[in-house]
Amino acid sequence: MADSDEDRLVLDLKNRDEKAYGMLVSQYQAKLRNVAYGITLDAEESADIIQDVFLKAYTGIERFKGESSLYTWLRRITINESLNWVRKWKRRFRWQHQSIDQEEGNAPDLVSDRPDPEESLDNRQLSGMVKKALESLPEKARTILILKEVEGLSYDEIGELMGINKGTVSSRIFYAREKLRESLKGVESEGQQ
Amino acid sequence: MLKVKANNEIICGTEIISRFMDNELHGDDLITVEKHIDSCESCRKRLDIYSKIGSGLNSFINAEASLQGQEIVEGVISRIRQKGNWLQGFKELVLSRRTFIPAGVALSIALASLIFLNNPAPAGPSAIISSLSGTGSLTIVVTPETRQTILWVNENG
Amino acid sequence: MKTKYRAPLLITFLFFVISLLLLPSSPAWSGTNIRITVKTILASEKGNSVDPGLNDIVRELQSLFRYSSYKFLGEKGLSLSLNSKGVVSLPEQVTMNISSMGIEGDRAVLDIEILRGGSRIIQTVIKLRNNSSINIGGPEYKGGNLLFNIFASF
Repeated sequence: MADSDEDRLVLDLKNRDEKAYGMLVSQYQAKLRNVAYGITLDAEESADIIQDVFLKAYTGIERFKGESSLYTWLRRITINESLNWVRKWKRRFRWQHQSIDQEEGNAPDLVSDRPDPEESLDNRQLSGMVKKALESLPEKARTILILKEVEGLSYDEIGELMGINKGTVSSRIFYAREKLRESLKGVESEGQQ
Repeated sequence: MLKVKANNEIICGTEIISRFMDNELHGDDLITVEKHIDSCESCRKRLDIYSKIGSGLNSFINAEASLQGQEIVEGVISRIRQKGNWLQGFKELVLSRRTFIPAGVALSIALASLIFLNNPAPAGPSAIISSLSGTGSLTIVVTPETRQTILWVNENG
Repeated sequence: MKTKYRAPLLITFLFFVISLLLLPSSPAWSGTNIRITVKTILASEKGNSVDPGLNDIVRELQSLFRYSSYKFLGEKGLSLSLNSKGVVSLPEQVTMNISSMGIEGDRAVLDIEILRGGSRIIQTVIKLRNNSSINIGGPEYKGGNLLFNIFASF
C-alpha cells in the first residue's frame, strides 16, 4: 500500500469509518492469519485471535503513530496475542514440547544421515506430519521460523520484533530447520522415490 | 562479521548454511561459502531440504489458515459495530449539544453559586485608613462580626 | 479535536466565562468606575427605633454606641471614575467630598473630606474593600450625631 494510501486509511480508521475497517480486515486478515496459525497451529483459535487483533486495532488506533506500517503494527499485535495463547495452553499441558536451552550460536547436534523406512503418505497424513513436526518446536523457535519462511523478514527485523539479537535469531532458525528436517525425514524419503 | 575460513568442518551442516540460505552472509564470508557449496554435495542437499521445508511450510500454513477467511471479516465488522455502538452511544450522549450545553450551564451556575455563596468572611477591616486628619478627637473602631470600620470624630475634642 | 465536538465545548466555555463575568466579586471585569452610595443617618439617644433598611448597618453599632435611635435621613449615589470627585450635600451645611484615587487589588482608594461651612472636620484617605462600607460619624445634628455610611462597589 502506497504511503499516501495508508495515510488516508489511517485517517479513516481514526475517524471510526466502518468501511475503512472492512478494507483493513480484508487486506490483511489472510497474512495475519498465517502468522497466527504458524504460532498456534490451531485454525479456529487463530481465527479468533485475528478478530481480537482487529478489534484491538479499532480500540487502539489512536495509539498508532505511523512509526511503522499498519501491517507491521498489526503483525506485532498478532505475534503477541498468539504467543500469549500458546503460553496459556502450555501451562495447561496441552502440548508436549521441548524447551530450547542453549547458548547463543551453539546449535544442538542434530545432524544425522540415518536412513528411514519408506512410508506411503497421502496429503492428509503429510499435513498431519508437518503439523506434528511444527508442534514439536518450542513456540519461540516456531514463531521465528514462521517470520522467516512465511513473512520473509530479515534476521534484523525478526530480532527487533522478538526483542532478541541477530545471533539468537540465526541459531533458532537453524535449530528449527534441523528439527523439522529430522521429523520429516520419512517424507523426504518418499519424495525421492 | 563472521569470519569464515575455507574449512569444510565449520561450514558443512552448520548454522552458516542456514544463514547463507537466508542471504545473511556478506562480503568475504559469502564468497567463501559460495565456493564451498559449489564443491560440497552434502551442503547443496541440505540447502535443498531447507528450501523444501520453507515452501512446504508456506503451503501448509496457507492451506490450513485460509479457511474461514470471509467469516473473519464478517466477525470483525460485527464486533466493531457492537463496540462502536456502545462507545459511539456513550460519546453521543455525553458530548451531544443536548447534554453538553445544559451540563455546561449547570456547571457554570454551580460554580458561580459556590464562589458567590461560599465567600468566606473577609479577614481584614472593611476600610483601611491610610491617612487621617481632622479637628477634635478621632476614634477608629472595627466591628467584631462584620469587621466594619467606623471612624468617629468628636468635633468638640 | 474532532470538529463536531468543538461547538459544544466552545459554547460551554462561553457559558462558563459569562457566568464568571456576572459574579459581583470579580474585579478584573468590572471596569474602573467606582459606585458610591452615601446613606445619611441620624443617631440619637432620643427615641427607640431603627428605621427600616438600616438594620444591617446599625446592628453592630448598637453594641458599640449608646444611641437608641437611628433615623434614615437620605441617600446619594455617585459614580466616580479615576481621579474624579463627587460631592454629597448633607444637613447643617455639611458637605462630603469623595475623590476616587484608583483601585488597589479589591479595594478602592478614596479621599474623603467632610466639611462644615467650608471648615474641614475630617479628611482621610481610605482603602475600602469592594462591596463594603465604612461608617464615618460624629458631626452634631438636631441633638444627635450624623452618621454617614459610605458603600463602594466596582
